[in-house]
Amino acid sequence: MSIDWGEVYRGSYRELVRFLHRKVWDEERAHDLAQEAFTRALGHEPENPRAWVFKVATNLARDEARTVVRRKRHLTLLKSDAEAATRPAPTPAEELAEKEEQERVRLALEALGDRDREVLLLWDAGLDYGEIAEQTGLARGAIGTTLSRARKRLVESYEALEGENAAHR
Amino acid sequence: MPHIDEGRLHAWLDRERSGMSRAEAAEIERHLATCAECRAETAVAERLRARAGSILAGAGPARVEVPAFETLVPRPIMTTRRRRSPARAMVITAWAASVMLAIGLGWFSRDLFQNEQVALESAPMVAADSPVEAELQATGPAAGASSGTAPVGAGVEPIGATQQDLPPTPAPASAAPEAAPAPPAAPLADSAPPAMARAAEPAAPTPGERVVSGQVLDERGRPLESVAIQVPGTDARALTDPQGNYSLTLPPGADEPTTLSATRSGFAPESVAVSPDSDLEIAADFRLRSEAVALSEITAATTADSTPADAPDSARPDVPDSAPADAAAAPRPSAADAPAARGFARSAAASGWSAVAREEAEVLLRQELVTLAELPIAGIEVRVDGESPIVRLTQLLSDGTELHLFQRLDAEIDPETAEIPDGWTTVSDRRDDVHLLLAGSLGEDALTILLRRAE
Repeated sequence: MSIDWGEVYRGSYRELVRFLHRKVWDEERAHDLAQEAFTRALGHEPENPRAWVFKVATNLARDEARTVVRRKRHLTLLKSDAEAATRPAPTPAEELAEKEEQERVRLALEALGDRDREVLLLWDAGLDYGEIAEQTGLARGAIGTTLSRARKRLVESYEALEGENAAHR
Repeated sequence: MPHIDEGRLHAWLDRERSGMSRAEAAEIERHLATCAECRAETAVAERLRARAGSILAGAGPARVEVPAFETLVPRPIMTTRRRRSPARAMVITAWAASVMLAIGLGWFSRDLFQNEQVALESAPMVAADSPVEAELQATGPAAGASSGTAPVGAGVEPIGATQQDLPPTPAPASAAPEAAPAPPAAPLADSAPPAMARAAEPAAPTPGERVVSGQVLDERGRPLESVAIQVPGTDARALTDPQGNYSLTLPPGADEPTTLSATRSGFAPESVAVSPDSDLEIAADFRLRSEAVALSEITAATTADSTPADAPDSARPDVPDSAPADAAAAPRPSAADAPAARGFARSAAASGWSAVAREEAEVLLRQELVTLAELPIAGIEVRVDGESPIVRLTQLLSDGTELHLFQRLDAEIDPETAEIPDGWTTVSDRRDDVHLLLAGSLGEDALTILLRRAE
C-alpha cells in the first residue's frame, strides 16, 4: 500500500518545524528543512513514514549545522530587508521577551547531553518510545530513564537561568 | 515490590506513547496505591514532565503555518507526444529543464515569495503562474516563438528559456548537412522536439500506440527526476517527474524490440530493451549510477547541433565533431578549457578574458571563489583592466543553461565591462568585500534565488 504523504505531512509538519527550530534556531530555515525532508520522502515507502521524515530532517539539520555559520552571514543581510517590509512588527517589548525566552530555552537545552537532548526533542515532537529508540539507537527500555534525566536537567537549567535573569533586574 | 525507578515512572506517565503494557502499568498502579514515597516521586516526575513540555513550547516558533502540501509536491510533469516542428532541436529539452528548474526554484523561494506576499500557495507549481516561471517565460527566446506547429499539451506553450544562450539554430532546411543516416531514424537532436503534455491530462493513446512507463532510481534507490528517457532514433522522449516516474508513448510501428535510454548529466546513461510483445502498457525501470561526468559532455548537451543517433548508446548527447559555426570562427580554446568551449569560443574573440585555473583565479581575486553550490563549473576566466581583476565563473544549470557569476574584490562590476549577452538579466550582491554579479537568461527572481544560495 502506498503511503499518503499528504496525510503524514498535515499530521506532522508543525511538530517537525518546531523540532527543527530547536536545532537550527531559525524559523525560516526550520521551514526550509522540514519541506526539504518531505520532498525527499516522496517516492519512498518507509515502514514508519513519520519517523522516517524526522530522521531525514535530523540529518538535514546536522548537515545544516556544518554550514550554518557561513550561510548565516549573508542570509541575515538578505533577510533583513525582505522581512522588515512585510511582517506585522511585534512591539519591541514583545519581541525582546520572545527572544529572551528562546535564548533561555536554547541555553537550557545546551546543558543537556547530545543524546538526552535528542530524545527529549523527539518526544516533544510526538514520537513514541519505539520510534525514538529506533532513531537514537537506544534500547527502548532506556528511553524512560533518558527522558527522566533530560527533563530534570532541562527544568533545572532553565529555572537557574530564570533565577539569574530575575536577579539581574 | 521495590520502589519504582524514575525511568519506569516516566514511562508510566508517558504510557500513551511508551508502549508500556497494561499489565506493567497495573502493577505500578498497585504499588503506588500502597507506597507514599513513590507517590511523592510520581508527583515530582509529573511536574518535571509538564514543566519540560511548557519550557520547550517557549522555544517557538509560536505559530507554524503549514503550506498546502500541493505547493510542496510538483505534480507529475509531462509525457511525450509525437508530432514535431523542425529546427528547435534541444530547445524543448531546455524548456522542460527550465520548468523543472522553475519548480525547484519555486520551492526554494517559497519563503522569499511569502515574505513578499506573493500568493505562491495558490499557484500551481507547474503552470506558468508561479512567479519564477512567469519570469522564465517572460524571457522566452526569439526562436521559441517561431513555430506554431508543435502540438501543445494543456495549453502550455513550450518556451526555450535558454534559447538565446544557444548558438544560432540553423534553419530547418539547412540542418541537413549535419543530418545523416537519414530517415526514418531521424537524428535525435536535429529532429524537432516533441511537444510535451502534462501527465495530468494525457492524450488518449490512439489504437496501436504503446505506452511505456516506469521509474528511474539512483544507485541508492532514490527517485531521480529530470532524467531524459528516449527511444534513440526517434523523437519519443519524456522526462521523469520528482518521483522518478515517466511515461512515454512509443512511436507507432515500433513493434521491433525497442531500446529506451535514460540519461541525466552526472549519471552514467543506461539502456533498457523493451520486449516487442503486444502489451499496450509496458513497464521499464532504470537504475542509474552517478558518475563524474565529463564537462565536455554537458557542454555538448546544450549545443544545438548534434550528431546523428542511431545506436542506443548515442541517445546520449555526443560531442559534436565540429564546433558550431560561430564557435569555430573564434579561436579554438586550448585543451585545458575545452570543457567550456562553447561559452568561451564565442566571447574570447571579442574580449580580454583569459581562462585560468581556479587557484589562479583565487590568487588574483585574493579570495576564495564564490560559486553557485552544486552546479558544475564550465569555465573560469579573468579579465584585468584598470583596477582590480574581474573573475567570470561560468556555471551550468542541469539543462545546460549558462550562468555567469562575476566577482571582484572591492569594486563594483560594470555590466558593460562584463560583456553580458543581450537579453540576459543581472542581479548583484556582495559577500563581504567581494562584489558579485550574476548574469543569465533567467528572470530576476530566479537569479536572485540562485545568487542568494551562492557561497
